[in-house]
Amino acid sequence: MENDLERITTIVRNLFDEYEGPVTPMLSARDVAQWNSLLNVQFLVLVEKEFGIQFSSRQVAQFKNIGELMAALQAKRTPQ
Amino acid sequence: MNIRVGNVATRKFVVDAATMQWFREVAQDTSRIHCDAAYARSRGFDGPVVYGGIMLAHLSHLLGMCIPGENGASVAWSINYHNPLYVDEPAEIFLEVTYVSPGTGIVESRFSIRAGEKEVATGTAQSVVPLDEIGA
Repeated sequence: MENDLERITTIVRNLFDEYEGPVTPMLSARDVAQWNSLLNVQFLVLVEKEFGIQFSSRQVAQFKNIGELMAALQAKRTPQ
Repeated sequence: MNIRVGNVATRKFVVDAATMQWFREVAQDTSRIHCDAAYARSRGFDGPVVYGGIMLAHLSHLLGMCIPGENGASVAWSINYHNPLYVDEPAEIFLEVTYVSPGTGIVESRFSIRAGEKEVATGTAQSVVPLDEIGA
């Protein structure tokens, strides 16, 4: 999970390049001025490609912060 | 439309002097490499070089009319110019879908512009489309 956060942090830093605050599981679009709906889908696609997974439209609509994103990544790794 | 990785679209085009003049007026770009044949030749080119913006207009056509089509919206483009395209030189732009994200509606493509064997430019484009237009 810690490594996941590092990888997501790299994406956040590159995409939201004006944001200089901490990247924690609690970080959400409300905390980042650049994080609008258009950049949100770009962000999620970068995460998909970084981790080699794809989110469902339902998941995309439900993510509230980085922590929920990380939990979804973890769930996709866990055999059902 | 059911957009999938590997979908392709192409468009042939020729940029003539009238189009160059039109773009010059729209962009108000009179840089000599595009307008002054003698200057362009002195810089090692065969003649005035076609504006990159005109080539991007043809990319716009492929994205808006073919893939992803009329319901898409561009999010990001990038282009690298490798060789000059000259006025009245036949060219073709080729676009291929490289990634689709059913959850977000993002479609990514790469494109290349060629004039015969010459590679004029390459680049990428990212669009967002209604979710029901992406193939499973």
